[in-house]
Amino acid sequence: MSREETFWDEGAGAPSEGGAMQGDLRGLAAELREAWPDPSLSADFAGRLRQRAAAPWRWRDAWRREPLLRIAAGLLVACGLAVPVMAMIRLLVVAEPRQPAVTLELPLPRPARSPDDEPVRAVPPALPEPQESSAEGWVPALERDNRFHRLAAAWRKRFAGRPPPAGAAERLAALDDPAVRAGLELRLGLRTAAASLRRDWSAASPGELWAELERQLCRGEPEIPADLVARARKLWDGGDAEARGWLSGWIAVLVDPALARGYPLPEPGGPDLAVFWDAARWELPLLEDAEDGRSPPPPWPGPR
Amino acid sequence: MSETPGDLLARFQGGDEDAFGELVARMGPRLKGYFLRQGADEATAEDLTQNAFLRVLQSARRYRPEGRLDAFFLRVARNLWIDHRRRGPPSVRAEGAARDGGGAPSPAELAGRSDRAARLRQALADLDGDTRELLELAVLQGLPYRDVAGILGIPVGTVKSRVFYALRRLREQLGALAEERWEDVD
Repeated sequence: MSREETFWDEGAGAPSEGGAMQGDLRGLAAELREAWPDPSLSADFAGRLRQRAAAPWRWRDAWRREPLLRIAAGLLVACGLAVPVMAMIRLLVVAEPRQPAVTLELPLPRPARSPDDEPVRAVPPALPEPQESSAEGWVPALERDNRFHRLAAAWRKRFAGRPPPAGAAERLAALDDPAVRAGLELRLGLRTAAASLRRDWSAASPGELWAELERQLCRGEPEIPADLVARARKLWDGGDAEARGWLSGWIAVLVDPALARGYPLPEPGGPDLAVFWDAARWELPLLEDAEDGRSPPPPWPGPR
Repeated sequence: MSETPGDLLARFQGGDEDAFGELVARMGPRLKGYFLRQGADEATAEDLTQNAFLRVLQSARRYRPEGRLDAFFLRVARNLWIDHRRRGPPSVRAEGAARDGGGAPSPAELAGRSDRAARLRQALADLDGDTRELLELAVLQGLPYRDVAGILGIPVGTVKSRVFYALRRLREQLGALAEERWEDVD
């Protein structure tokens, strides 16, 4: 049997049952062929076929024809659905976050600082030099520094939240540049300055008056009795340069800052606080009370 | 020596548009006849025939030139017919048209058509699908046994014996009605 053997080849056929049988079957097959010939095509068959063959590629046709396209589309849809599904699962089934052993938490907002909370500029604590500790005046020098810083803090407190007076920037700069010696850290609770227990200022010393001025400034609610004013003026008129140094603050506040110029604190290297008094003068109200002897200060004739 | 369908396809792939027309003229009626004899109506047969051409053109690169192109066409046609039947009830031609072999018969055809031919067509249509398909490929299309075996997925020897027994069954169905007419054909 040749590889191209067909039914119609001579001698081809089924298991032989004799030539006549095969002839009959071949005849029947020929009849069958004639009974049902191949039909003709419609007139526009070729034209329509050309149009379809030249038709642009369409998704629908490709979808129907290419199984790999359907597989790829299925994978794409599965991947696209997987993302939101996994997100939903993660949202709904979320494990409790483990508390870390150490966390870094941002501090709560710091409360607004009031001027009263502002500490005096701290001086880093340091041990004095051996020569300093043995020298006389080391403790007084520390005390002088402390006084200055108290005054600066009080001055800033006065002007907190308000525009400082004209030229105050320069004055602030001057206050920030004192001859400061290393000393003890100084912090003041400005509201905690105790009220003065002294009721009679008629015999107060210049230094005591200075201390009272500092206390008044730190306390924030100054009460200036008349006898204190009188005593300050009396001592100023009759006092020497050292006394006037201690009294310069009161004079600048009560009378005229110009008078206080040139009278620095009576300490070596003490700063001239005229700029301080020039501004502080307008911030300290006077106490006017005539019933218990605290009468308003009489007009001061001025220094002699 | 006339060109084989494979030669025509090769010319068409080379850009010869005329070869396409010849290919359609040669294979078109055969494919349409295949679909009609398998049970499709006229419109479906033409549509499936066009689909077969399109598929062959699209898969032309897979066609091995050493094979028969007509066998390749009929393999494609068979697959299309199977897919068509799977999608739904086949567009079966009207019973009356079965005897006409599809298409409006001309008066000459009607005049020359005998009852025997109609009975033959009916007898073929009454066969089971596998037997009808076997006769279609081996007898009516005239494909080599090897190609028929390849299309149907059966051994060559089985093809030969089944064709023989299919024709015998066909004859037996016609026997009672056509005994006297058989002598007329001869």
